[in-house]
Amino acid sequence: MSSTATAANTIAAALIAELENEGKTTRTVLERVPADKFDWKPHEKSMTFGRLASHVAEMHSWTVNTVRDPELDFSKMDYKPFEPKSTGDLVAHFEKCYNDAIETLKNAPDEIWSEPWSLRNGEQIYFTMPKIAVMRSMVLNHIVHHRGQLSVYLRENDIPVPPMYGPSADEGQM
Amino acid sequence: MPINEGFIKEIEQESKSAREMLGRIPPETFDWKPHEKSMTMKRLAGLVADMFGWFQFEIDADELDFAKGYDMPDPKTTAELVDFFERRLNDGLTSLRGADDAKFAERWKLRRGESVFMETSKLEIVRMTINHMVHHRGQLSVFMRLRDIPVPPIYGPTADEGQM
Repeated sequence: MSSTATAANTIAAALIAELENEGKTTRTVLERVPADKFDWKPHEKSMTFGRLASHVAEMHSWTVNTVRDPELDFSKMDYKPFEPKSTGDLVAHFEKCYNDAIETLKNAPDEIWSEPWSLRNGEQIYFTMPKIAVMRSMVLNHIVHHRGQLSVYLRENDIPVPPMYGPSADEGQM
Repeated sequence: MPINEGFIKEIEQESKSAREMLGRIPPETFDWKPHEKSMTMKRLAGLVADMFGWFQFEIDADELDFAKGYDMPDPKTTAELVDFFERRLNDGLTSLRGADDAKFAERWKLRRGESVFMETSKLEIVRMTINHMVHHRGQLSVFMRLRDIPVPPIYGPTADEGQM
């Protein structure tokens, strides 16, 4: 449990503790993505290394939309994918999105998590779920999913994969 | 909501894409790996299939000791891989269904004989195992793409399926 826990936001405190813990691994992974490989992709249908890494970074800020709003409507969105010029840019963007997420969670009282949240494109609603399920699945697990993909991208480029939940073939042998 | 209910809902949800993915992995790709340091497709898919069964020893036991050995699955066919996943998922869900909130406050250890790698609460180890499974399932999605196996929608559409 994070030290920021209060009686009123115990759910957010657990989410913060998890983000902080996972954030250490995510930061290390992003720090190892070299700018000269940003355009590389393992398959013609895959995201590029730079896009996948940027996606992992920017997804943290979805926490803000999840907590603050009742929905995300693609038809009202002006989404510009983040395009880093350097590894430093990428890590700095991660830090910003990550800090926005932590700050938002610190002010999220327990009662908001049962409120419904929808993903839609104008009239078309893709899903409506309680905010806790959105945060859990579409934000946190989704980040871990794409970070897992990123670990294969590192390996394919002979970049050492840091320990993630346990040792990798490169580091952290027990 | 009791703690186990939230976990069970989440695990059932995350199982859908895992089941769909495992059912698409042909045995002729089982020995393939994308890099000499990588797991083989069979090893990685077997791990993804096994992991939701870990809740069994996380809930019903107080430790896992590597010194006592741990058998990894050795499927020969796609159907065996999927059957293994279903059996392990059922093992894990059965243990979770029997866990009250007090159970999740109990301590749990990962060790090899005398050497203790981790000591944490059962709440945290269950949480970590879900994330850990999602991590390896993400890796598996890249392995599939590299072998031109269509990747099903996971949290949203992929380049192969589920365009909105």
